[in-house]
Amino acid sequence: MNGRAKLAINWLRGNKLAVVVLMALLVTAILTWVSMWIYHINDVSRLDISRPGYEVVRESVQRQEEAGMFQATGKLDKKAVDLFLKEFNAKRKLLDGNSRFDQGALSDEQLELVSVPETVE
Amino acid sequence: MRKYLLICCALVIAFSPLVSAESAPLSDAQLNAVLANCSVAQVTLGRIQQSDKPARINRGFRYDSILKLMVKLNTRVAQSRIDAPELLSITSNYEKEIKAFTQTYTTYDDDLSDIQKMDCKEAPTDFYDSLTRVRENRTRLEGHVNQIDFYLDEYEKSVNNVGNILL
Repeated sequence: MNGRAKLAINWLRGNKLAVVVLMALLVTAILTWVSMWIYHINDVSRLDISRPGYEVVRESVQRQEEAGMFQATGKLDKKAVDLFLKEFNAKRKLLDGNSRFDQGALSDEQLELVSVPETVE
Repeated sequence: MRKYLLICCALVIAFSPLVSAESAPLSDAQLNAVLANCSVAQVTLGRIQQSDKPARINRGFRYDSILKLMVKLNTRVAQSRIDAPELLSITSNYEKEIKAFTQTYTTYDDDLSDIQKMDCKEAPTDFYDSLTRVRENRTRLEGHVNQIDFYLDEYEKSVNNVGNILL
């Protein structure tokens, strides 16, 4: 072992607390980086509206509905099918108020990109 | 001769995506309109992006919720030994369509973010080409929404058929 390595080991032995704090900071930084990477790699960041500036958007998001009565187990009779259809249609109805991504919103007229004909004097 | 044909085919394949992404050239009047109002259009596009977000979140959540309900019914149909393979195939197609909707939204949202960062006064033609791409992706999104509705209608019809068997 050369002199430099010995010196480093002696320094580490003499500053155990500092070494532990630095290690903890390093681990925290790595874990934070990993969690931020996961946050950006999937669609979570795209759909995260808890950030500042999304107050208006937050109000437009529908609250979760209560769990339905229809279960995955039990006898399947006409009554069960009717209950299913009732819940199925109720859930479908909740989709009605949402945008269907129709083309009108991006038209030249909406974006004010329509060429105005020059007036002849 | 065959060699030349192969080269021609390779060139067509290599350049076909570029050709399809480009829109018709802008007329002078259109170019002027883009130059004059593209900054306003970028602000409007930002607003559209903000208003699309809740639609994406709500639709995604509702679609998943309906899928869970469909899986519950499929389980009960299987347990009751009723032969209804169309329920499974519709559920599978519905699930695939939800995934396609999610992926298309990601591309659409990325393009919408990029177009707002563009220097549209410097490159108006590029701006309009990007806008064409955003429109194409929005058309695809609308198509996914319609296709999902179609599968839900088909599923409801099949459930009614199962209900008629049980009568």
